[in-house]
Formats: sequence, structure tokens, C-alpha cells
Amino acid sequence: MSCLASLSRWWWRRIDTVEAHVAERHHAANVRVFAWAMGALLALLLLLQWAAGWRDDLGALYRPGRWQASLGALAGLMVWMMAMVIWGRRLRPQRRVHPWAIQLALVPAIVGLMAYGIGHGLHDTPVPMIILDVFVFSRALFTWREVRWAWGLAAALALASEVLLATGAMPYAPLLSEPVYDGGEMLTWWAVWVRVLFVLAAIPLSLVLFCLAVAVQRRRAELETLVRTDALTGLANRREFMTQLERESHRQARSGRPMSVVLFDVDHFKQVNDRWGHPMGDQVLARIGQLLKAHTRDQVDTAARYGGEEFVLLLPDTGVNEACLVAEKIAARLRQERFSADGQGFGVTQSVGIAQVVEGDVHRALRVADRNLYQAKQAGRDRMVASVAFPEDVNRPALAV
Amino acid sequence: MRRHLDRIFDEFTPNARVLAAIGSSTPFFLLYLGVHGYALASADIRQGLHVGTVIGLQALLVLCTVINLAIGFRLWPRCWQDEPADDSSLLVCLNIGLAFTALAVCAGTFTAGTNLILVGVLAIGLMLFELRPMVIAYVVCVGLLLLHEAAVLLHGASYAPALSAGVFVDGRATWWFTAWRQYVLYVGSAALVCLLLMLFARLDRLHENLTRLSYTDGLTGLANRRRFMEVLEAELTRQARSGNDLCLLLIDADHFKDINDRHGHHAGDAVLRELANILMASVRAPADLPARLGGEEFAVILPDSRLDEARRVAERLREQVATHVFEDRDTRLRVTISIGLVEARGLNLGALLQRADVALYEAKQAGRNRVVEASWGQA
Repeated sequence: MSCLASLSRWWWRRIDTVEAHVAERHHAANVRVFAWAMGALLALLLLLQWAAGWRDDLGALYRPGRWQASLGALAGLMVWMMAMVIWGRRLRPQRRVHPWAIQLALVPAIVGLMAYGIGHGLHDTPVPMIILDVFVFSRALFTWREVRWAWGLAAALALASEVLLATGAMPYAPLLSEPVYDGGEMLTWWAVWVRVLFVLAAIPLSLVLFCLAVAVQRRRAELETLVRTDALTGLANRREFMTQLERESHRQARSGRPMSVVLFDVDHFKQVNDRWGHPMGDQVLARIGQLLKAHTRDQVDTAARYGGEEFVLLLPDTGVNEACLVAEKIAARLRQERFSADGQGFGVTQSVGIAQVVEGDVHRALRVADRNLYQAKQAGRDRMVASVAFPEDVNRPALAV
Repeated sequence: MRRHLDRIFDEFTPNARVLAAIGSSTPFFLLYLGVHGYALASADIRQGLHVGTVIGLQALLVLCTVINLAIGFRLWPRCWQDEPADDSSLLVCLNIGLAFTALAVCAGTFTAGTNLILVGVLAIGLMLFELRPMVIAYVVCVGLLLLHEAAVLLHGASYAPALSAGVFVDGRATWWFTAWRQYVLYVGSAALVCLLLMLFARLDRLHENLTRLSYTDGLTGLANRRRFMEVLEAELTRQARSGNDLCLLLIDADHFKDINDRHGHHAGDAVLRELANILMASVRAPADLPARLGGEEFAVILPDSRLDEARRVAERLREQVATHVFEDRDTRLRVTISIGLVEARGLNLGALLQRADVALYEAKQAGRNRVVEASWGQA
């Protein structure tokens, strides 16, 4: 099981690398990758085509002379793609490639493939699926602006072939002497041919679709965490806290159960920054973030960075007395914490303001907690002041601890 | 259009997603039922069909439609309730997947555009649903396809069981077979291309948002500390190579703590935002980089600026802030800033920031609301 887990981790890391690579759009590298893949695909098609001429009866499936011509065209395209690969290797990987260089790779490959499809018939072969494969692949490597010319041309070619077909100016599948599928049993050769082409198209296509879906889901999740959390401490940010506060206030007003807000402010944080430098200050904040996270309940409480050196806890189902216990535990842990810089150690303390929410009015509770915090600071710091945020007397004397 | 689609992807609840899948597939099921019914009724077309298979297919389509609609009616009242996805999403995935797989198999897995439609259905499913039901449905459908394939190779079943040799007359495809093949191919590939383009565009957009967000400060929209450090590093490297001038302003709002304590955080945030606006407006747009380093500390990187130019910029900035009235709701405040100014002159990143810090500290000591240049005597 652990083997499987590590395998899947490895796999996702690979996907991440590829995805990041593709998303960065390093053009020189992408042109090379595209030319490589197209070269390989063309080589397979060439092999398949060539095998048909191996026996006279199979060679007769193609109209006279067309088999050789199509073989030559495929070989030419493949050589062109290989030339692009060699040329791509000589470019520095991060450099932006001139737009027409991308077109030189895209247009011949895609238009050539469409011509191959029309020659064998688009309606009864899996070639359209292969063409779609290449479409997905090219779009993954390049922007829409870059691929649109090649695909516009290919679509125009398909449309033109349909018009010629409808007017009778061109036979269906001009390369072939008879249709691939005529309603009855397929010839053995065609039966093999369509299956090979189908597998060649379907497996990469569904793989890409799954990867794409996973990539989108992961990006969304990343974006969501980025929007909701504070980068330094990993706690919720102020915006997320306000959202949670709103939500919990409704719940509190309905259920009538106690709820508390706890405001923390690091004492003399400015001096920590000035004396030990900003990186040390950041380290202190990150440590406090860890402490808050460790002392709150997952999924129930919200711990957030309120701004600067101020933190806040939202504790549903918690009265003012229990909130004091929680806050005291955190404050005590922080007092024991030693930070060291330049070979010297120092400690920090924090002042705490606590308020219990009454009647779901969280904003009043926040104001009261702020006032309590101010009083704690006034009274000499490293202490806490708590009260219940009653509506009638906001100025009621608070209980200092 | 794009907004609506993003709404579907971002805001739809699991139940709403199931309903969206049902709503988008049922019309097609009904269309196929109708078209197949017409084909069975027409004596001309019936020549090219295996009537028994087509009737079986019709029965399957009716069954799938009924199951889908039943699930739809069950979920309809709970459409916008944010409850976790239950097995109905798996059931719908399987249902739709099986119907389209059966269509593809009956029309010839490898020789008809129905396989493109099948891939299109996969793409839509992957956009709407979680990975788990989609993987299960995918495995089941591919299994079905392979099973039929094995039966064909062992001569237990015929290839394209819905069609007979009658679709070709005198070596030419009949008109209806040609029309059907064209419809399926072009509608299938057009739909698939659109879906894929959307999926890729969405991925690009997400990537862009992610990069932008991780480089900007949430409150003010200025560059954040990370971006500031990266740009400063790059500018210092460039400066070392080209020898151009490079100056740095370190800015700190005076007595900001008091504003927060006296007027609340809301007012403090408003002041920071306004400060950021002033910063943004008073520098040369693409060349200079204003950033918020954290708290009430800001910085501006001034590439290709001589010391006297930078001094002018800093003085102008200080004056603008000092004369500006900051308003938030009913509070009107005045705020001043202290600025530490330093010229790069071949310093490395750490030394440069430290000098700027020292200069800023001096500005604070000297009574705030002033610009102090880093002197070269001390480090």
C-alpha cells in the first residue's frame, strides 16, 4: 500500500513538473517537444502506411501511384519535424522564439495531418480523433493566438474537401481504391489499421483530459487557499476571518450557545523588528501562528492573523471563562518560547483582550475585545482582560486576569 | 458567457452539477430517440439497419432517460443546498457514459464519429464532477468497449451491430448514412474543440490569477514583499552589470499604531489603501516598483534614478502625504511618513536594506515626517 502511495506521489510530482513547464510556456523547449511528438506520430503512420505496400493485395487498397506519393509526403513531413527538433536544440531553453518559428512547426504538421485524414476519408477512419489529439497537444504547449492559424487552415481544408465531395469534384478518400468500411465485414488489414489508429488516438486523448481536469481542480484549490490564508503564518487571513465571523454570528444568534472572540497583540513587537531585524520578527509571528493552530480545535475554531502583529481567535461554543483558559494556555506557551538571534536569546509576550458574544452581535464583541486589549496594554502588558459584551453597557468594568 | 461558465464550475453545488449533467444530456437522448424512431419507421433506411439492435438501443436510451429524470426530480428541491455529493453523481456518470458508449459501439467503435462524441462526454464530465465517479464510469465504459471488441475478434458478435451491409448500395454509401456520418463527425468535433478550448483557457486564467495573487499584497494591491525582494535582487544584478543608478526608498507611516488603536483597524486599513494609491500615482508607472513590505512599511524601487532625482521623488511623496486628508466613514485624519533613502552603488541586497533601515530609523529619531539619506560614513 505504501509502495502504491509513493508511486502515486511520484506520479503527481511528475504531472506538476510537466504542468508548470507547460504553463510557463518556454517556447524554444515547447517547439522542440511538439516537433518530437509529431515526428514520432508521423513515423508510426509512415510505418503503418509502408506495411500496407508490403503485399500486392494490400497495396491494391490504394489507388495506383497514390501510395508512393503519400509515403513520400509523410517521410518529407517527418524529416521536417526532425529538422525542427535539431534546430530547437540549438536555442537557449528560456528564450522567446520568433512567432513564425512556431508557425513553421505547427502549420506543416497540422495541415499535413488533415490532408492525410482527407486522403483516407474523415468519415469512417479514426484519423479525426488523432487530429483532435494533436489539437489538444498543440493547445497545451502554445497559446490560442499561436495555434489558431494552423487550425484555421486545417478546418478550411476539411470544409473545402466536404464541398468538393458534395459537388462530386473529388471522390471520397482519394488515396484509396475502396472504402475502409462498407457496412459488412472489414478487410483484415483495415480492421488492424483502424484499431491501431484508434488506440494511438484514444489513450493519449483520455489521459490528457484526465490530467487537465486534475490540473484545473488543483489550481482552483491552490487559489482558494491563497485567497483565504495569510502567507506568513498559514492561519486564516482577515478576510476569511470576517467571513467566518459573519457565518458564526448567525449560528450563535439562532442557537444561543456561548461564543467568544480573543484578540492577541504581541508586546513591543516594533522593538523585536527594529532590534533583531524583520526576518526574526517574521519568525516570531510564524511561531505564534503555530501555537494558535495547535491550541484550537480543527474545523470548529478559527484562528486568524488580524493584521500586523495582531491575531484573533473565534471560539464557538465557548464562554468567556473557557476562552480565558485557552488564551492563558497560549500565552503561557509563548512566555516559555525562546527565540535566538546573533547568539542572543530573547522572549516575547502578548496582551490579550477577550469578549463573549451576546445575541449574535459579533461586531460589538470585537469592539469590546479591542477595548479590553487596550486596557491590558495600559495595565502593563503581558496580561489579559475579559468581559461579556452586553449591549446595554459597553463601558461596564472588565474582569482583569 | 465566460462568466456564466466560471459560475458553473466554481459555485455549483454537487447537486446542481448532477442536475446540469442531466439537463444537458437528456435533450440529446430525446433527439436520438426521435431520429432512431424515424429511421425505424422509414422503409428505405430500415434496409441498412439491424432492426433488433436498434430497438434494443432505443430501450436502453429510454431506460437511461427515465433514470436520469428520476434522479433529477429527487435532487431538484435540494439543488442549492450545500450538501456533499452522494451516489447520485456516480449513477448519473455511469448512466450517461453507458448510453453514449452503447451508441458508439453500435455505430462502429472505430469507423464513426460517435467515438468523438464519447470523448466529448468524457470532457464535460471531467469539468463537472469529481475524479472518483468519472474514473469509475470511465473504467466501466472502456471495459464494455473492450468486451464487445473481444466478442468481435472471437466472432461472437458483429462489428457495428446496429448497421448492416445495406448502408452501402453499389459500393456507395446511402444518402442517409453519409448525412448521419457527417453530422456526427462535425457536431462531435466542433463540440469537443469548444470544450477543450474552454478548459485550456480556464487553466491559463487560473495560472495567471495564481501568479498575480502570489505577487500582490491583498490589502493595497501593491507588490508584496516576495515580489519586492525578487525585483530588487534582479535590479541589483542589472545595476552591477550596467552601472546605471538605482535608488531605494523605505517608507514607514508615523504613529500608525495610534491610528489603529484610536480609530480601529478599519480606519487603519483605509489609510494604508490610500497611502498605496498615493504611492502608485507618484512614481513612473512601469519602471518604478512600489511595494508593501508588511504592516505600515512600504518601499519604492527607483531604477535608473540618480540620488537627486530620488530625493525629489521622496520629498514630493512626503509632502503629498502630509497634506492629504485621509477619510474613512466619518473620521478624517492626517498621516505623515518617514522615508529612508539609499543609493545602491554596488551594495548587495542585505547591506542595501540595512542602510535603508538605518536611514529610516534616523528619520524617526529626528522627529518623523522627513526624508533622511543613508550616509556613507557608517554602515
